[in-house]
Amino acid sequence: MKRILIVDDQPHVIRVLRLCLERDGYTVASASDGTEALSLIRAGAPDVLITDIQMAPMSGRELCQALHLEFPKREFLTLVMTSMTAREERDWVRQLPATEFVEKPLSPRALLERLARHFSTLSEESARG
Amino acid sequence: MPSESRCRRGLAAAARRLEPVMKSERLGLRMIVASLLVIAVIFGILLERQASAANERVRAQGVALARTLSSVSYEQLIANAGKTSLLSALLNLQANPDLGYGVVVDAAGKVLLEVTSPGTIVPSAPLAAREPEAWFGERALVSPGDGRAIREFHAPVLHNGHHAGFVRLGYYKPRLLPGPAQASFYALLALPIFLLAPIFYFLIRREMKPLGALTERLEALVQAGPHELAPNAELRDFIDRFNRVVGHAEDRVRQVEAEQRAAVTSNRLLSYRAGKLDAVLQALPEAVVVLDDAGSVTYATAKAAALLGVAEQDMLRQPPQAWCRNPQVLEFLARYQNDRSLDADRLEFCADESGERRIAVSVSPLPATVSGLQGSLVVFRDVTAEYLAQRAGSEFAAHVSHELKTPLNTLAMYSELLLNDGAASEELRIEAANTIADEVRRMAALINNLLNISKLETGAIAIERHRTKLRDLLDDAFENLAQSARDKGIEFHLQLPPHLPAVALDKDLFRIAINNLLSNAIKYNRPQGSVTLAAEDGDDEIVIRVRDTGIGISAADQAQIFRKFSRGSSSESAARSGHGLGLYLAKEIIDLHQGTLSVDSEPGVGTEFSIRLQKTPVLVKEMMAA
Repeated sequence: MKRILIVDDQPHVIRVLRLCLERDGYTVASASDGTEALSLIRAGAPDVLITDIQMAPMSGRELCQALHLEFPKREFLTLVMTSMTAREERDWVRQLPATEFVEKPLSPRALLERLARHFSTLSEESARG
Repeated sequence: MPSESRCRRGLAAAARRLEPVMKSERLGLRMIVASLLVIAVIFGILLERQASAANERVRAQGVALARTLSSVSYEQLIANAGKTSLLSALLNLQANPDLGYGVVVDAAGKVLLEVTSPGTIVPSAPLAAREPEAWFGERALVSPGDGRAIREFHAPVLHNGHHAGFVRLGYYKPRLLPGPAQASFYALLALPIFLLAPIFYFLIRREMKPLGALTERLEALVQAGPHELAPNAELRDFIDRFNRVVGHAEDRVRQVEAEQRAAVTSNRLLSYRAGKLDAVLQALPEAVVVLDDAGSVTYATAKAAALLGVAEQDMLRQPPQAWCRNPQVLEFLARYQNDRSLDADRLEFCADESGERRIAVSVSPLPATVSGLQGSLVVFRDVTAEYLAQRAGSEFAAHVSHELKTPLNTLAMYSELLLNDGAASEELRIEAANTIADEVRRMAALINNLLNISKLETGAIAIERHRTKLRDLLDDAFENLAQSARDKGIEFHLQLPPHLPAVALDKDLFRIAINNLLSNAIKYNRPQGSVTLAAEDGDDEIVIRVRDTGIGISAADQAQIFRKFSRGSSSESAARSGHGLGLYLAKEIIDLHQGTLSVDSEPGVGTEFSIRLQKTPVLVKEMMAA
């Protein structure tokens, strides 16, 4: 069971993503901002972290940077939800390792496909390795 | 007329100048007196000289005669008494008018022989024959007859080798005043000297005569005017030339005065122009600095010094390194200094550490001056306001885009959920539909508020006040939200007095304000809470209150709530969706109605917003007061 951590201040987003992900067999945890997410990760790293950027008090960007400092050798993938137009956000996302972005408005189906692709790549690598 | 008056003035001046010449008429008299004095002095000297010469002569003669007589034998001297004696012969031979007497006396003083000039009485002055040294001598006596001074020479008379007596020779002191013969000589001597005076006088007079005549003439002219000018060619010529000189001098004076006036005027004009230019430059909102071709400051306005935080005098004649601490600006100016081909360049920099103060600097070449040196014009401008506005604008855009994207995101996700497995669960379908409806409402509210704010801020909405029945308006607003309040389990009360006066309002805008306050009261309420819309009709004002029993607003937040995008800082507030625009818009609208919007709140207890509207429009009040 792959564990997914969703960080967003919009309850609707968490609600829909949880529905979709759980239905696909993922274990879903959620947090409403970076601080909450960070404490959850300290308790146990997820397989994939999905986070929004604009949140208070700790934003997604601050969360990612804190993670990078605290867990430089982390193995989980971080997906940052950004829109195509937020070029500034995309720049810092690109500079962090194991950090990618997913487009907003978010399509749950696209996200599921992305996760499936990620995990299949991982299993292929581990099979080879 | 001007030439005539000029002529008169010139003539008067000439007359004044000739006055001293007229005084020289007295010169003749003075010259006569002077020549007489000279003659008197000459005569005095001559007489004195004559007198001393006579004295000398008398003395020489007297001494010689006395010695001669002394050497003559006694017998020869007195023997032929009764006949012409040697003495009388000798004395007669002398033919000296001054020789008064010749006397031979014996040792006792008895007169042995006496020869006198007519009328002469021999003074009886005995001579003491004590010492042989005193035998020869001379003494001064006075004639007993007429009191004339007498010089007497005496010598001893020896008889057979013994002193037998004295021979005394008396000479009158010569008369100083010349006699008739000498008078003619003196007169002849004095005459040429005396004659010199009139000669000089007449010569001077002759020289002065034309001037005197001219003076008289000028005076006559001054009094009579130039029309009376006699056809005297010489005088005319003189006057013409004189007038030309005077005229030329006056012209020259006028010219100099005019030049001076012109210089003063142009100087004033220049300083006025310079002052005006400086005043204009000083008054510019921009700070102006002029650099010479070497890069030193030749001019700086007070604003430049203030903007750069240095003293004005510290800038003048100094290179930028002396007055600018910002490395960016220094580099910018140095780059321009090295490459003038940069036509006009601009740089924006932070003037302080906080980065809040932004200054734009631009540099452009100044055209070559007369000296051929090329300077540069550096203009500093405080662009903090623009910067902040720009930043606020971009922040606003970012905020709005986030606020719009969030519901869009939700809409996208729920709609996809419905599309993919809409039939899966009835519960999910209802949830999706409700969420979509909510988000659409939220977006619509946001868009409405944004549009209204934009219109208000740009002035696109002109407030249109009409007399409005306030009761109807409040009733309508209340009813519009009543259902939504009931859905949330909130008690919704309306407390209006039976009669509310009509008020001049922009109905549509005022409705938005009331609506925003009411929907906030519902949104930030709690289950089983209540919202009350009340109104009071006061003497001067109408107060509309929106009261809730909600989460309340902290004192710190109360100061911020009317600002754009301001949201409550509490977690309860954050849990509710909002854009921080509703209260801002409500406040703007109430302000447009010259009303006030105030808040009274206690966290955890509730909040009351009060709108106070003047019954008499402010404009009317102002008119009445005036």
